[in-house]
Amino acid sequence: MQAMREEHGVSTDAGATALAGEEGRVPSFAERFLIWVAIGTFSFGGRPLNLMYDEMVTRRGWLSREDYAEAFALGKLLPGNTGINAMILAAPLIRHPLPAAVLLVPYLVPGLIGALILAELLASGARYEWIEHALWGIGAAGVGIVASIAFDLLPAARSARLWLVSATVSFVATAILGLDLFIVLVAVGAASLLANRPRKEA
Amino acid sequence: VDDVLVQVGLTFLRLGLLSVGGFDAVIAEVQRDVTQHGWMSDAGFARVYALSRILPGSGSYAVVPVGHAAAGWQGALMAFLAINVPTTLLAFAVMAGWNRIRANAWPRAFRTAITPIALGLTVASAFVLGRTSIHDLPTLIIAGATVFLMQRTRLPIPFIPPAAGAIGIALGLLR
Repeated sequence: MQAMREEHGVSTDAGATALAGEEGRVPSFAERFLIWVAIGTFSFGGRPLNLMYDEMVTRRGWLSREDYAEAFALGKLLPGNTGINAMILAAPLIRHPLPAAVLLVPYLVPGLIGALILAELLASGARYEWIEHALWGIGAAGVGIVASIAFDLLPAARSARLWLVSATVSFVATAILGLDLFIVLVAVGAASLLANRPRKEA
Repeated sequence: VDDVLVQVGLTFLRLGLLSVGGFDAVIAEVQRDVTQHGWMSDAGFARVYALSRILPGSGSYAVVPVGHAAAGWQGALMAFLAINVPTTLLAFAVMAGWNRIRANAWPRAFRTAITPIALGLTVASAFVLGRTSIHDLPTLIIAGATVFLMQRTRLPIPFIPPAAGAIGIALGLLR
């Protein structure tokens, strides 16, 4: 399986979960740099975690689904840009703790350049209806991308005890009841951790 | 030192540290601060926020046009740095600590425990996004086609938003 992943540069679904992180191929700095540039450049719609999942979990197997979920959750528990937080917190999983800071530059610069151009355009008073039309399409595709990632996370989530309860309560609390995300993460996370606590061998 | 520049820095420093869960969690607070300072109107900020969604990366890039409106290019960079640098340093500190303990039993249990919650929150994101982004048959078809393409093909994500954006533009021209 490892040989296959290295040959094709792509992992199977099972391989991504089983081999990534601890046993996965160590990506070179150049590979990581290019992926960080790609995520910083192409994560249109302000959703870099989707692209991070696609590139690092699905395509390259650098992270398992559990690694991704860990970076996702810790990134959201901390204040600030969830994408930056998750990229930093995922960095040691793909074995580059020090260059993580360097890799933030290619991740951040494309969006910053775009934001500065947008600022200048808005300051000039220009209105571009086509951008707003494009946003309709991008927004709809964003829904599909997030829904697809949810499908992908399902097999890994099912390995937890009371997974359906944790997933359902998290969904209802945030999407239906509109409760604060931090409170939901802490409360449901604590309950799920209790259900999945380390058990002594019999 | 320019007073407005200091105000921009302090405002976005505070908002960054409050933004647990991401920039979207404090968007109402951002809008209130921005309009109170007179840097933008409510409608102006709403437009900036919507347009910033087309940018790659984080939604927090919306602060750049706000900083620009307040204090030009310096304000734009100040807003960007103030909202991101302190929280990024905090993330690095947490990473260092977490990395030391993550092989232990409890952090490993945390990984197992948090995955179904990530699933629930991801479904919630799709649901909430869908309420605002799926408003007619064409947008429903775009979302459904995206799920199909991602599940059944290995089409890379970067191809999808530009294609969907082009469809949006075409539909806009037909309306």
